[in-house]
Amino acid sequence: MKIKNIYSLILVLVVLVSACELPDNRDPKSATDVPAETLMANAVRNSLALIDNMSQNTNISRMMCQYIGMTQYTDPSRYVFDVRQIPDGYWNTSYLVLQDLKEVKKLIQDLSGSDSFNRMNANRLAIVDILEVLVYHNLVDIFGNVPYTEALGGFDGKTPAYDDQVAIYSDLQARLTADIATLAAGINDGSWGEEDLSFGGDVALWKKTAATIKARMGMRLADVDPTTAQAELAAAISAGMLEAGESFQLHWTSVTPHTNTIYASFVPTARNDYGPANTIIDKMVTLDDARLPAYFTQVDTSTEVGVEKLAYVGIPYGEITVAYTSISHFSDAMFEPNFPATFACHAEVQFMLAEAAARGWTTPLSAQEHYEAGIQESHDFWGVTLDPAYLAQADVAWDAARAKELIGTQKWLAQYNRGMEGWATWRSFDWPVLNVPPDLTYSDIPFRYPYPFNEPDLNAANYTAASSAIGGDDVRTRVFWDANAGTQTPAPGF
Amino acid sequence: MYVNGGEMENKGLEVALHLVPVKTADFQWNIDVNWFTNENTVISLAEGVTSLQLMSAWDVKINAVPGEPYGTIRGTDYVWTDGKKTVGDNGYLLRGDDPLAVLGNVQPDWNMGIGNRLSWKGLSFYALIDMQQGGDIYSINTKYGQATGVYAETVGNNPKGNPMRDPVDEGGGNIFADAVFEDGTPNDVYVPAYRWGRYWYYNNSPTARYVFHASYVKLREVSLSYSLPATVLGDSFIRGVDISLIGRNLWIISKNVTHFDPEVILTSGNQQGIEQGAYPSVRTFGVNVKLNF
Repeated sequence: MKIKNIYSLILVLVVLVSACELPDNRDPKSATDVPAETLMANAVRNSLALIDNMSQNTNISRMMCQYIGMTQYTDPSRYVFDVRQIPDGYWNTSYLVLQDLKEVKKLIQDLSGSDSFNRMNANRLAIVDILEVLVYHNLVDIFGNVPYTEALGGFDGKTPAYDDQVAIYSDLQARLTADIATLAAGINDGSWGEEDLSFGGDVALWKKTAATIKARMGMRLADVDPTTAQAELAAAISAGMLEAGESFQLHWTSVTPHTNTIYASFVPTARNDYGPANTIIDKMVTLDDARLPAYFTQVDTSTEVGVEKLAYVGIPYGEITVAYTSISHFSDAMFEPNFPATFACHAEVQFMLAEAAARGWTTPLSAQEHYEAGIQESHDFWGVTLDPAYLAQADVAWDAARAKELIGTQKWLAQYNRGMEGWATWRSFDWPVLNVPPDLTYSDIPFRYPYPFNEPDLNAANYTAASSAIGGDDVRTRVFWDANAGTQTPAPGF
Repeated sequence: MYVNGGEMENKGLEVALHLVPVKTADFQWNIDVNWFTNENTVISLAEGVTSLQLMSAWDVKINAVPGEPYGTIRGTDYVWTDGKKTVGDNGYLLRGDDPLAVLGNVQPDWNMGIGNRLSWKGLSFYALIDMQQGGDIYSINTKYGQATGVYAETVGNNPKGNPMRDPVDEGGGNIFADAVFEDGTPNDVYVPAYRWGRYWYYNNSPTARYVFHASYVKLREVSLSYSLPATVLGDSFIRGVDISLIGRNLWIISKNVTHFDPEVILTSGNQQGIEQGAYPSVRTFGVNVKLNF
């Protein structure tokens, strides 16, 4: 058959259904149920890893207090937040982790059994709660007001309001009080198992950790609300804080990606973006500090061939670019993939008590005794011997008139590698005096992160309200507990 | 959980023109012109959402915002004074206060293709020119390439005729020449251009410094084909032989960007409008032999 002159008109009607909902609105291929234990391990790991993180994209707290600097891409160490959207990184991960912790609670909160089971389960919930408190108090310390009561609302709460930071702190304190009571009641009933990557479910150690965090948050208020600060510290002392040799840590493994942040930032990627800052190294060299080899390596500074001249050399803080080979590095121990991350320790407890005593508050021992015990504990923690001569030298020896300077400086030295606490110490005490990056001034050094750069875009009305409530979304706006001037010539005493 | 992200509208127009300006027994010239435009508007987003972020990288964001075309590029703009870019007293560019200023849109105004075919007996020559008018693209390569001094413009002479990498007090440095101070007087401050953190440094610049027009004119394809006449083949079992030489992406005739092909994309998904570390587009040459049995 022969067909001529066929004109065919093909009309293609493409109906684009831009979003078709699945019948039950569930992803049929992914897991929808997870055991509480698995989620717990993940939540512990991620919440603590965030606070310990040293990535220039997420957590630059170690730079804020000048424990470390950067070698090449020095913007973060020069307080440039927007290019890498650092606040967004920290904020987003925080709320993801909080969502995980919330899910853990949801999975176990309705379980019920024998009395001892119920106490065990209550312990589990209290431990999750302590982690939530830790994540939130760090958020407040970084930003000020943050979403709290309306946070984690899912699709129904896409634009949460920010809560007042004072109210958040107060609520967190109340939660710790309740958690400590719960753990005290169930002290012999057990809790989590090995999924608790810090204490393996040791209820007593969690209780001490909660008390230590309670004291920490209390002492943050020392300048703005001394009455509450004293009451919180007294409650923490009576509950019992971390004792000599005890610390709240995340025990990293030797298997990527569950490795400590220094190893993760350097070894698998073969990068060398970070190094110890001259701020801390110079201070320790001046004091002939026995912790130097535990903290740093030495570098050969000799210019003669065949002659070695080892020294501790830090990155000139905030300098534009620095050769990694010309500076000291983190100590070999800190480069081990399983080097633990620390979130509370006995040295911190001693320095808090020293501060309280120096302010004339009730403490077990005198200010000097707590201060020296803090220094001793820090040396023990890092496995080095404290030479009595160290305590006798002029810039270390106890002097009540210089209490703020001495405690601030030694607390900062002791909390090396704990950026969040180092930064909080500097903001609380104004000590040590930090170095000024080239071309900047002392008054460019931040007191907080700016809010995430996505917030004005995605949560505009609440962002604007929060910014104005805290006194402007500026890095020089202080969080509520930071009352000091932050000058280059801080007062030596309280 | 899935929810509808939003609703948008496309209104487009496509015009095709087929011309045969010359046609003789042995010779024919065909022109095919194809022109199209699309106007896209985001109508609405999911309830409670005022802005949907398609991408956020460095200091630039690509958004869907109701009332605007899909894919607005946002970031900090220059500070404009009497229509001119403004520098601070230190000679560096000022950035506008609004971190979400609309700096452009990824969608082009229109596209056009012009194909010409000249045929003479068994010989055929074809050339296709593609062009795009409008559309914007943010270039991360430009930002970092300039900041780290790898691009040619970061070396050479400044307007004074001195090497820009020399110290400012020796006549070096560089100047934002067409800019003004906040009071409207012309900028006369040279700033250092010898290293990171100076003249070419993104943090001394608004996001807008790295947003470029993505317009282009390209010689997309040229081909030359020859069909052996039937007489040559005679009664053999081969009934036809066509031989062609084909070249694609031969020449970017015109573009507004220096360091990359404006057609590059970061991903094939929603995240259009950002150039980052793209490989150069590939120029291909081919030989095509077709035998008909």
